[in-house]
Amino acid sequence: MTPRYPKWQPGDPKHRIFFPEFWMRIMRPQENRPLRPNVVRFECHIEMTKNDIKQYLEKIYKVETLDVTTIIQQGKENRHPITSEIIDPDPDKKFAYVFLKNETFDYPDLWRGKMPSDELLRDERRMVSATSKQNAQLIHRPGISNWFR
Amino acid sequence: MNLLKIIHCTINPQKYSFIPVRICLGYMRQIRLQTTDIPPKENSSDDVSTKVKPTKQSNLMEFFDTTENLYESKIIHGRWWYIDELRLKSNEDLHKLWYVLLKERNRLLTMEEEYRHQHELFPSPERIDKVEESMRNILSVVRERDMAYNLLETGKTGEQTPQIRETSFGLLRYYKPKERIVPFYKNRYYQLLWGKRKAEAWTSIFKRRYNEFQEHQEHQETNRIRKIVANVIQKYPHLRNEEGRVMEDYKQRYDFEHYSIPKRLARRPKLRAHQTVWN
Repeated sequence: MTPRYPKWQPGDPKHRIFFPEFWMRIMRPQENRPLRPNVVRFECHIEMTKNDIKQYLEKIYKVETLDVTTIIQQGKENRHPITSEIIDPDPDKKFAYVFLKNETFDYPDLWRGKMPSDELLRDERRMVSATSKQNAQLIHRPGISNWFR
Repeated sequence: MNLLKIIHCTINPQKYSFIPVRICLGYMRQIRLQTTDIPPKENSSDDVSTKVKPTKQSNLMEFFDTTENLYESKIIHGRWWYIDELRLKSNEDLHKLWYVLLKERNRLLTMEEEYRHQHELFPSPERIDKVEESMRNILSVVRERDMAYNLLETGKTGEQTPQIRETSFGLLRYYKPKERIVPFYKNRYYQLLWGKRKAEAWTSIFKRRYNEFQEHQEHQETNRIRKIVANVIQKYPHLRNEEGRVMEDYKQRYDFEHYSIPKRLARRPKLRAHQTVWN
């Protein structure tokens, strides 16, 4: 159905989409471009219009919006090093900056200081300390085995 | 006697989107859900809106996953919705399920981006594929129901009939009519694809050779199938009179297609929009 919904012309009844296939995801604001507190940065399906985004958020997520600005970022065309033929181009992306009404949004800190890889690091450190302890015992008496103590 | 209490209750709308669930209370019985209800979806217990109920959280937090699943390397989740299961659901249920899946997909996509930013591995990325598969299955069920409704009401499926058009190379191709914003006389892309449709004289020799090749292929396939069918009939002599039927059966089995559009189809008059008998 979406995204190729039929074209609306004056005189047509209001067009309704029952199964919207559009997706949106919240992105962090870029480092070189800090945002106002009531602005959220989204990445969305490339065929979404500003009106689409506004209605999507208002109707599905019940978030009131003032304004939406969109920008399409072309994906990098990855070229062959020798023939400079385009191989495996990156897909184009559409970013939307949504201005909220009577609301502020700050990108949340979901991790609360912990990272999922922290446990793996801790295990690694434990292994390293155990081996270093073993080595400390052996270094002073090279040539003698562990069981002779 | 031991009474079973059946309670109708509406679960928190943000979690199950206004779907009533019947709970049977008896002697330590399992909670049974009716077929009209939606069985637990993937990550149903780890939904954001039920576990986290802060005072001033905006609805945008529905894009994030704030449960304990963040720190795990592998998340246990269910499978996607099969088409047979979805066929049992009513249209309203399907509509509601669509939005549940939509929100879940958005949530997974935001989390994927977040993990990528933190240079971490996203746990169980197959969840996104499962959600998308379920959404595709819903659309196919809706399409089936639409076709059935149209057949009952009008005698024709509402599907488009692909036209056969001759391209400038003399080949026959199927063309699906689409609604376009730009009219054809201004549409550059359409002109490149379908502008010149008259096959010129130089194409006739190539057409001939191509047809020969196609017929040769068809011949080989039919001979191959004929040999198989002969063996089958030798084995089961009661099928001697039903050779045609057996041939058709084996043709289907070996995905035998007509390689080219036969001439009788190419020359027949164009089907107009109200005349549909395609399948």
